[in-house]
Amino acid sequence: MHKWIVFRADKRQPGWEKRKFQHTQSLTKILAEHFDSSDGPIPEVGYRPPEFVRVEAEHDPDRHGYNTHYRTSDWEVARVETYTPDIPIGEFDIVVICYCQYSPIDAPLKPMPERQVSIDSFRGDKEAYQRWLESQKSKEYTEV
Amino acid sequence: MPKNPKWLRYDPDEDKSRHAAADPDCCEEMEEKYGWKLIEIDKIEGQILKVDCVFQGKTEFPDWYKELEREDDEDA
Repeated sequence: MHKWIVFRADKRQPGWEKRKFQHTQSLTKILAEHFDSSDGPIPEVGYRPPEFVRVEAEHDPDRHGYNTHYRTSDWEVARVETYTPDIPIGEFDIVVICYCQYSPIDAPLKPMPERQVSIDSFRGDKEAYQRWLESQKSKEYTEV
Repeated sequence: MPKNPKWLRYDPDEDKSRHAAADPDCCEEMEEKYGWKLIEIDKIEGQILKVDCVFQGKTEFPDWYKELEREDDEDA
């Protein structure tokens, strides 16, 4: 089942001034979104989605994207709504909206896992993958 | 390739995994192809690989998958 899971701030939660879509600067209540094709269950009340954090002093552009660490979020799911399509021929089998409340827990930071590269990184293009492997022999990547 | 193949090692309770990709759509394609849970897409500094796809859990290809890829390359 292909699930689109949206984490949304509940009414009157702090920090609304900074929650913006970067491309338009429009304010939004969306905190995060997950795309889930696993067999796992949808989030329940009390679930805290992971939160990604950049620690400037540890940022290495060769190893990291924007973020360097992750941790359990300060946001907690308070209510869950599910929506299923009228006709099940679209991209998602279910849309899950998780309304979250801010409840800080000061969870410990964990470093991001090592970056892996596989043929799927290149949409299955074997030649592009091979070219990339040749060009990266001296760099630190985990080939899979 | 079957959706959510059981031959792939996937432990949803074990930390996170990060795969580089050419664009954000690649992340969603990996998520659907292997039955993973995509929780973050991060822009990276790269000419070819431009994003990191972060998945819930430990996502691993078995050793024979690597061997199969090598054999395919040799046959090509």
